[in-house]
Amino acid sequence: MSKPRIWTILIALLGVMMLSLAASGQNKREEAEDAGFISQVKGTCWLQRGTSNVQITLRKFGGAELRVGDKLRCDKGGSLVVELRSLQTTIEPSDRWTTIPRASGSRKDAMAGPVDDWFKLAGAVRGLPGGVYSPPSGGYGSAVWPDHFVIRWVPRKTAQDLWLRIRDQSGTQLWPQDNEQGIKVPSTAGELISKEARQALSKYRQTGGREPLTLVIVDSKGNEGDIEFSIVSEQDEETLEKELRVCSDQPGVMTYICRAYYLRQLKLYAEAADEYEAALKLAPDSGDLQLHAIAAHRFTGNYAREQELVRRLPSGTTPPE
Amino acid sequence: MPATAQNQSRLKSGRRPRKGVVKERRRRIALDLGVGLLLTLALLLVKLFFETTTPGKLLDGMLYCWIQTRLSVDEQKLPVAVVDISKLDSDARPGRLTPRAQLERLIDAIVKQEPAAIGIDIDFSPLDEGWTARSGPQFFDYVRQLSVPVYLGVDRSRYGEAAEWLGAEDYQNLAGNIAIPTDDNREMPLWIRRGSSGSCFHLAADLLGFRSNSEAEEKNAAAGANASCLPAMNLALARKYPRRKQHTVHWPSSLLRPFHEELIDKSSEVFAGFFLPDYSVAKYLWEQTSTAVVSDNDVQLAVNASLTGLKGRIVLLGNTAWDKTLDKYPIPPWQKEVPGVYFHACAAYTLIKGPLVEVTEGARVGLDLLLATVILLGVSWLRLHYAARTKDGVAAHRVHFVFTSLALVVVLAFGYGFVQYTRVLWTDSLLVAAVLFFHTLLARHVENFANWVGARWHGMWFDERKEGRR
Repeated sequence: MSKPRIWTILIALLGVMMLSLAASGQNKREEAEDAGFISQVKGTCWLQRGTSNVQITLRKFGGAELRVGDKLRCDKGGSLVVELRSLQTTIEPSDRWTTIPRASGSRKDAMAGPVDDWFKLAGAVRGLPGGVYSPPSGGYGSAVWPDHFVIRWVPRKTAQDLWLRIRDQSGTQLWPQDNEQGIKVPSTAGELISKEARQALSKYRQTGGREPLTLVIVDSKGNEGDIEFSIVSEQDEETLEKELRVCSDQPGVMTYICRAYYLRQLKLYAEAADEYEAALKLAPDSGDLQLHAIAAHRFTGNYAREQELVRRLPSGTTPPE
Repeated sequence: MPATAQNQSRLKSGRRPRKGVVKERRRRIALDLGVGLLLTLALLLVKLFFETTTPGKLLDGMLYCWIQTRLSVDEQKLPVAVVDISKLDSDARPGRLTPRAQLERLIDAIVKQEPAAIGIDIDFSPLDEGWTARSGPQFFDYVRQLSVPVYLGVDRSRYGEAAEWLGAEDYQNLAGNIAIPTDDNREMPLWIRRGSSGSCFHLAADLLGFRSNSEAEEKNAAAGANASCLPAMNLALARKYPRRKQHTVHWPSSLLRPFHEELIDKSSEVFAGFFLPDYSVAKYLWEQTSTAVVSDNDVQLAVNASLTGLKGRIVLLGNTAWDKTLDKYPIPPWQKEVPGVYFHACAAYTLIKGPLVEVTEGARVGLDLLLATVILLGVSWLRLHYAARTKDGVAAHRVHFVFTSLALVVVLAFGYGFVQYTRVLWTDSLLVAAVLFFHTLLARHVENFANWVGARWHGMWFDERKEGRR
């Protein structure tokens, strides 16, 4: 190999190393910049980011992420609750700006998980005949809560019938027990709440059923698809209820973020997505909340709602990968 | 030879003892010196053992309190002032200012008085669920923009990393440790450090009068990511007092020390520095305490009538309502319970006025030995000097008693009488005096016993009567 060629390779290698170092440094800076998010807004409050000042409203800033160095202030009668990565704090009315500090570590309270999780956005694979998203069809092995079991799918514009049934691993049909073909529902309905299905699932759990179940969906063209799901155990349900009680004490959108987190821990993705929807009622224009709702709907396979939310995203906001 | 000279020579030779007597006297002196030194060592061992026992420790505590009573306050205008904040809310109450706003209003009022620095004896460490109602970034940012340095109390998180003290790295320079040792109220914390000692030693060197000869350590401290120094509230505040004297080193640290360090956690290399505060000022601080007056929408400062103002002083804010605070501890010398803020105020006052130094263990033993040996050698020298000059021997025990009495006067004067000038807390000085006194009492009996043993020993091997008949 000639000398000039070696030099070219060396310089190229050096260049690659420099670029990767710079990129990793940039990543670190970006990671460190996420400091927390706004969970509650009362009265008139302000955010100063760089040189721009914007008024904070819960409608737009509920769940909005804050960066290290952002400044917050509230006018008389206003207040903000900020969930930082390390701690929660309140901003009271003042003429002075309060700077968001770099976190000292992760939180140690019951909100540690929900807050930490808020900074992680992820989607999931999707696609299922009939567009069923509850139980979730995201492919991550979801769970259902018997007492809250609902079958939801994306309503179709053209009317056709769907046949739904639940069977266990051995092929024994759990629901409906009197019709092997399944329950027939119009595809335009979008939702089925079946008391019998809930009872069947509860019974299955009470009798010690631990194995995953399958929801089988067949459309009028004979296309068949299935969704595998498990049932939340009684012990997990008890723990979950305690955790959800803690969530109800949280301010503003934090209640829903907290609930969504604990529900997701038990793979109750559909219920988690419902919580984000509830939060969006409080803060419908919050870009960050929309992103989390999009990710949650991806988990469940609710493609239609996901697309709807993606269209509503503020310009320049990229949906999660 | 003239008659007068002859008479004088006869007289002299009559006074001078015979050679045999001189020899016997010298032997006795050597024996007594040896026995005296052995007795000294034995008593020293007993003293050292006694000091490790519970009665010994109790006595040491009593002696410390006794010495503390000698310390006095000589200045008219105290450099430290206390403001009572017991009427401020710690939790939000409807219709009133928030706890944070109340504190800000009070600090605004104090800052107008132009104090040298302000310390707040409240634990601002975050709880697991978040900052308390009084603390948080908003309050910390407010404090940072003030023209007067303000230090915030840290207790719960004092052994944590620097970023944990007040919940974020940005606020670490505001933190001051407010923990008060409950097991030994004679000492107050000076710092808590992790890793290198450089940064802490550098903070305290001027105030405690020692030379921080650890430039390399300071560099290590700056470079080491885990090295940190949380100063005690008293140290942080005293450093900001403008008219403090720079104390210089007059003593080797092996003899007298202004502070000592204890290893708190070996695995993470956490050390805590302690020093001895002068509590004599507590009474005056109590009498001169100012008050924060709280109404629904305002907080005002009511400066104590005996103060002209707070200008140039160190101001400590704390709950001084005895019945309202759990933060109260028995304060030396009379062990009456007082709120913790007075401990911090006394400690800050001590650092400003000049540290109290304690005698090291090695120096204590050395002093005990030195005193006893000087007395014994003095008595022996006097006895030797007159052994061949007078017919009558020196009354050794009387001389011993006189020398010991002189030593006792010196010990008590140095250890107790002049402590307000020397600032040396020699807590076992009275014990040393007692040991010296016992030494005098015991010496005669031990020497007699030694002589008796010697005679019996001699008699056992030699027959004196037979030799006499020959």
